Amino acid sequence: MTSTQLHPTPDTRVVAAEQFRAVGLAVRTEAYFYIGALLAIAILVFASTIRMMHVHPSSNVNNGFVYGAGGAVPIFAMALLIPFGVWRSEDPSRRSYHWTMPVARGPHTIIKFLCGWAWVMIATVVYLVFVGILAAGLSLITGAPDRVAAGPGWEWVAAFTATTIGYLLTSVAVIGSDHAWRWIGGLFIAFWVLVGVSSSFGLPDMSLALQSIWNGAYGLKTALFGLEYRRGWTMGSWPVAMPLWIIGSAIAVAIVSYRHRE
Amino acid sequence: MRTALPKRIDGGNLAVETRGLTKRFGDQVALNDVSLQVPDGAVYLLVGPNGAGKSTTLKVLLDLVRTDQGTAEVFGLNCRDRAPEVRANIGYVPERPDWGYGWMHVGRLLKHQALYYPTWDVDYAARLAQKFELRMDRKMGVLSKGQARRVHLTMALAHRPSLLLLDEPTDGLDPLMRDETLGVIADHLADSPTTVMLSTHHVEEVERLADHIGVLRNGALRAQMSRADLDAGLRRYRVEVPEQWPGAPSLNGAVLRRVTSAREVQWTVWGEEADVIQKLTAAGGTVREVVPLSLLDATLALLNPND
Repeated sequence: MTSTQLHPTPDTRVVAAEQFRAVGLAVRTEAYFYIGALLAIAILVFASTIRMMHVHPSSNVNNGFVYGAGGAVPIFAMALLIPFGVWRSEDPSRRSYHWTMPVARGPHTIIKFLCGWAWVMIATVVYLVFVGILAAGLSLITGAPDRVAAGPGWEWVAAFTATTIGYLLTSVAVIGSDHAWRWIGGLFIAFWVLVGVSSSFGLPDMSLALQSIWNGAYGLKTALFGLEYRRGWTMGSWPVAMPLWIIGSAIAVAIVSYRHRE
Repeated sequence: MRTALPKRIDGGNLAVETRGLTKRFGDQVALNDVSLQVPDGAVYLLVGPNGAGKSTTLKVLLDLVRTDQGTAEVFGLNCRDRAPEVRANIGYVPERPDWGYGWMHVGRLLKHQALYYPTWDVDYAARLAQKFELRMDRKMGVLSKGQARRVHLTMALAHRPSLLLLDEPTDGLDPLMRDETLGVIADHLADSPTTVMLSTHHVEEVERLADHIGVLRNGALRAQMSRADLDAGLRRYRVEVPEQWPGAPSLNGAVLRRVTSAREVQWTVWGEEADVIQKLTAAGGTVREVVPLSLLDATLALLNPND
């Protein structure tokens, strides 16, 4: 025993606020790239629209586009990359700084993960606002009605849930492994090789079962964007598939976060 | 006569106590039944060759490494069950220089650290930064080993921890900065009541700081004692001996180091000086000189495999 006066641990709110700021700093590079890409897209779309109006003044250049679930693909791709920024130079074998802080390791990792997710949600809002501004700008230039919000509301919600699923899935690999890219790439390649092999060797049931993980009624694609049909997207079993994938991948994140690595 | 090296420090309040720490990494035994007692307020030097288990021991206290057997306590708190509270009281300087966020500026990293430690002393941190000539606008990832070490020391000291764990704190520093750093640590100890566990290969540098020593070899604790006990119990004896001298069987087990030249031997022996002289004389030797050892020589003797 000792007579030494013990120091207190930090307030969880202080830790969360600091992690939010620190993660924001860590993903700065990705954020700049993302904003630059959005600006480039906007300039390209406006420039090509204006040019088309001058080249073919009589043509119906734009009747105003309707936002659909598939419109979330770019921000979903961004969400897949964000965990690499959140855990920059902190793969498990180099995470000892994070682990030596006076906070329980599991909750500390979850706090950092949630701060990254908060930034993903902010980026999604920025993206949807950008889509809205793009539609309004095109409408202003062409005189066509702004129909961007004419689609069903769930397709806007899908932008948030798809980015959440993407962020969760990559986070499992990044938090849990020193070689996240190898795991992600390896699983992707192994999946499609298995699909190909099962088709080639006359195992249609196995092939279909495997493919359903991607595009089945409760597959990942459905969980992200609903069901794709020839001219767009429909909800299908999205209301069930989406929470299933979120819960499943959240459990995986919790497991890798609480696992004691040395 | 005492022949066995002491492996237990008794009496007083303990800042750190481990019991039977055992850790294996695959086939390799990193720690083998290590029981340490670090008195409150001590500067405890942990010595041993590379791979002896020094860094692993420090990491067990931080709950970075979990042992297969045994328990560790810091200020009476179990290091595993109450890890956040334990870490709130520890200032840690790790061996590896890439500790901390490589992408973060030094100034921002210190701010980050400050928010995690409610006892962070802003003025003291500023003084340390000035003393260590830290450049706040530089990214951690581009710092040299020595520069990173100075940032780590600032991070470890500025919240005035009750326990400092220093794993090779002067590694990578130039001689001038080494001296400066040890001076800062000495000033810190004079200013703040702190227990220190220090692991270093530069034993001679910390001679003036260390008041306790623990010796690890191959993951096992070979000896631990206070400096006073070490100074009193370990001596080098220069002995003139007859030809074909058979040695002193009664000292078996107490001789840590032997150097023989012609008709003279120099033995480093653990035991009470009068007893050792009497046994050497009884065996036919003539003791010409008895020399106390420096901390470095004592360490080398304690690490000697000829036991």
